[in-house]
Amino acid sequence: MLTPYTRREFLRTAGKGLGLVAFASVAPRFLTDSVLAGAPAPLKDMPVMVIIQLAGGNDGLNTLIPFEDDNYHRLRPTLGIKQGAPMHRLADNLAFHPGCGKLAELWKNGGLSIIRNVGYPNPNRSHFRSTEIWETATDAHVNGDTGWVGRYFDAACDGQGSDPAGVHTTGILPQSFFSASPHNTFGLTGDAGRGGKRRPGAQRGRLPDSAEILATLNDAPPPPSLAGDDNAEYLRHTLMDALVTESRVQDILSKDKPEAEYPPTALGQSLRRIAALIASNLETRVYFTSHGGFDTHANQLGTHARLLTELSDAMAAFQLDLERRKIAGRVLTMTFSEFGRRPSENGSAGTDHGTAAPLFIMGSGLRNNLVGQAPDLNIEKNKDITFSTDFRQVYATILRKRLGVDPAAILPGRKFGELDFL
Amino acid sequence: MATPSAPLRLPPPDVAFRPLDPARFDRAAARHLLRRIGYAATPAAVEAAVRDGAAATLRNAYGVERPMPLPPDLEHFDEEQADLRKRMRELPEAQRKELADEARRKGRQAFNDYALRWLAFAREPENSPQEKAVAWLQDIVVVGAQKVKSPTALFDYQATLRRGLYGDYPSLLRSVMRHPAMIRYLDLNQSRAGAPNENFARELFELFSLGQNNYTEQDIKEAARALTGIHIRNDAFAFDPKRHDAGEKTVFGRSGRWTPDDLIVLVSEHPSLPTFVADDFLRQFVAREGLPPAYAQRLGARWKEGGFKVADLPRIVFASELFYAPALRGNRIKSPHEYYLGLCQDLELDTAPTPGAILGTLRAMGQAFYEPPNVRGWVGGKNWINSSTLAARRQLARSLFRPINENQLNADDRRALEEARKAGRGRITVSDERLSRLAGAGPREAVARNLAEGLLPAPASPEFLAALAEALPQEEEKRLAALREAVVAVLQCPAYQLG
Repeated sequence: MLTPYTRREFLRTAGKGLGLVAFASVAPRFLTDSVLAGAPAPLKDMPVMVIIQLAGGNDGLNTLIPFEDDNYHRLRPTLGIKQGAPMHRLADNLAFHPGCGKLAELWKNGGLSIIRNVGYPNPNRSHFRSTEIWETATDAHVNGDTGWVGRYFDAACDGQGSDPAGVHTTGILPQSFFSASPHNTFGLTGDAGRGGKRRPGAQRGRLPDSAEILATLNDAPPPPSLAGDDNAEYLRHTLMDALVTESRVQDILSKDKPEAEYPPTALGQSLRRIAALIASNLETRVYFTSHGGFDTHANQLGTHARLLTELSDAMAAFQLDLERRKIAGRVLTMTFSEFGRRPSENGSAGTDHGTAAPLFIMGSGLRNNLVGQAPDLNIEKNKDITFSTDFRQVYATILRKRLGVDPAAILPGRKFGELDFL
Repeated sequence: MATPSAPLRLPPPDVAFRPLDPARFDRAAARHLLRRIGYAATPAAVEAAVRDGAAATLRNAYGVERPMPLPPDLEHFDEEQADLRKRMRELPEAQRKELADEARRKGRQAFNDYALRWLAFAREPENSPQEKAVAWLQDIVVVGAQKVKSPTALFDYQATLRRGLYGDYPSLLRSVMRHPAMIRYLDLNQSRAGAPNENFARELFELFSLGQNNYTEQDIKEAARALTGIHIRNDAFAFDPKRHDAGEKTVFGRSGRWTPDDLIVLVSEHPSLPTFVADDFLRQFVAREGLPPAYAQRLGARWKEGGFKVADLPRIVFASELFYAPALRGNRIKSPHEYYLGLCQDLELDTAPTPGAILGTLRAMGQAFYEPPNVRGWVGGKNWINSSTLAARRQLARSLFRPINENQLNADDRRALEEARKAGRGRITVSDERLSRLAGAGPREAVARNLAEGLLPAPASPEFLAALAEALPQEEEKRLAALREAVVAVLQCPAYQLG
């Protein structure tokens, strides 16, 4: 799993920038465990998954619009996107929201697959709980401790890599990444890679700052009474990994030149940084980013249009960047949201928490660009739609067909039928 | 690298819970005790503990209940919310949003205010052992703000556990079962004769009292029937005989027309309860990965003899030979709350006066106030630590040394800060004077030793002390600036995450 390249890269960094990190006793795992890992898989073939969370519950019905369905207009008398609006027609009775022009283009060129009406049985309408259900990939009545990506790390990574197995741009570790055994993960903060940040040791005679001192303190052996203590060692390794990754990421981002123009939105900038890290040959398998604000209980139209435009523009820029860098072949991007919204609009020109919604898969080599059944809108006012594809079928498909692992080890309970988008 | 864990050298179970010989209660032992029962071992507290001895220190720590005062925002909270709801109902649907937003905003505000006041309360050293024990109880009989929603119910629930600490465990379970926060959190109010909800029954057995494999699925079903009839009326516990399944139930092989209170009696008489609770306590405060089962059995038996008094667990364990075994010292990973409150005590700071200054940071460190991940509570230990939570801890330590930019505060925060100052709680940044005092006098080798001894849970390695001394200033000119960076690094380093 470890590559000479990475080691060289580290030594180079250590030799110059991070000179304070000596290798007395707590070198990164790849140095101490060295060649035990055996022959590494060629990095250029290693699949990478990017997850974009649409936080707050995306309104699926106004994202992919069943514009010829009378039920849609009955349930959405004011919020429904009317025939004649500049939406992007994909098929009979199916059009992308006017803001999703770039996603529509991708879809037509085979770069985007739409999985329709995705949800799970006994849907929960709490943001917190439903997000947890998607991230832990359990049945609605089960409390899971680990996330589905974390279980993938458990199954596929030995936890010894120097590079993080997962990188996230969210302030806290996403529950998706929670694993049974420890893996190196890294949180990419908002200001990383904006440039201009000095590196340790850059100026001679300057006083060391706390980060540099911390690196030397962490390198010193722990208190003798804690030698070999499990918790003490774990803390030192995790901190060491974090300091090394911080420095590498800083270095990668400060040098990277994207090959596509990204929108200046938070999501655009997160995806720009993710593309740079993928292109740099980090061993990271999964990236997680979040696009928030979808909880549109009131005055939905403008907000939702802005969010979808931002999503569409950022995703398209990301894909173009990956293609031009010639790494699109190993990257698969997936969106998810904790739930869709109620088909009936509410009294405040918004929508309340609902159940199923479509999700998107973006990448190259997709086999089918429209998967699953459309939701049945022949329902009473204030009733919810019933999902037709379980989100764990999507996960199972990606796990087996793209990440090359057996979904049974990662998605507990039962077998989830795989889909044909890959 | 870490050697494969050798068997720990521990006193054998039959003598493990004998009190430590007072002659062996030295400074190091006192520091260990203070860091485990509270959040820090300040020099003055260490002196007092050594002078008084372990037994008196513990009597003082868990002597009488110290109630937390009701936050002013909560005094009329329920009435105000009821009033808002009433006014909302009188409006057409389209105009309710404003009032709904106001209700939500006030709820958030009251909850945040409660969180800040709890931090301030727990930070006072005389309250710390009690609050750390209450946090342990909150991590057994878990409820979460996301589902309970009402800040008054959450405050009152915590107060119930605090009171419960000074009573016996069966009574605590009974109060928990009857508390609106728990009734809501585990859906007891969704349960009625003919359609029992098993949520509370299952967690009562699995997480609150017995542990897995000590009951059957059939026991849960029958227990859920016994629990029907509980609901909430006017924000308080109520029992409705019409909703109660009055038929005969068989739980743990014992049959009768069991009521909810009977169920608590059955649980209390179950042979697994003493070991389960004792084991949970030992994992929380002594060894998270678990000791050989004989220790929990022994402790449980002794706890039962004393009548299941909750505070007996800390009283017995923190006085015991086992607790002072060298292999069990200084290696417990602090929770985010513990890390923060420890920083405040070590640095002689007041807790943050504004939500913006701390509540988001606690979340980023993985422990948002009263928002455990699920009914199992926080997993704790190594699970507290990943690159993001470590980054948040580092950021927090650094922030305590930087004066806040008061021009950037919004009006509410500025007012809160002014009020805190007026109340004498305005120490929110480490002063130069405090910094100098932490460092002490002498050459930089001596300063390094002072810092390590004052802040770290175990004597530092010579290499660590040398590296720290190296980072300390020689020239007088930039002394404080350089010292500040070095102290921040000590507070960020792995050893300071342990206690």
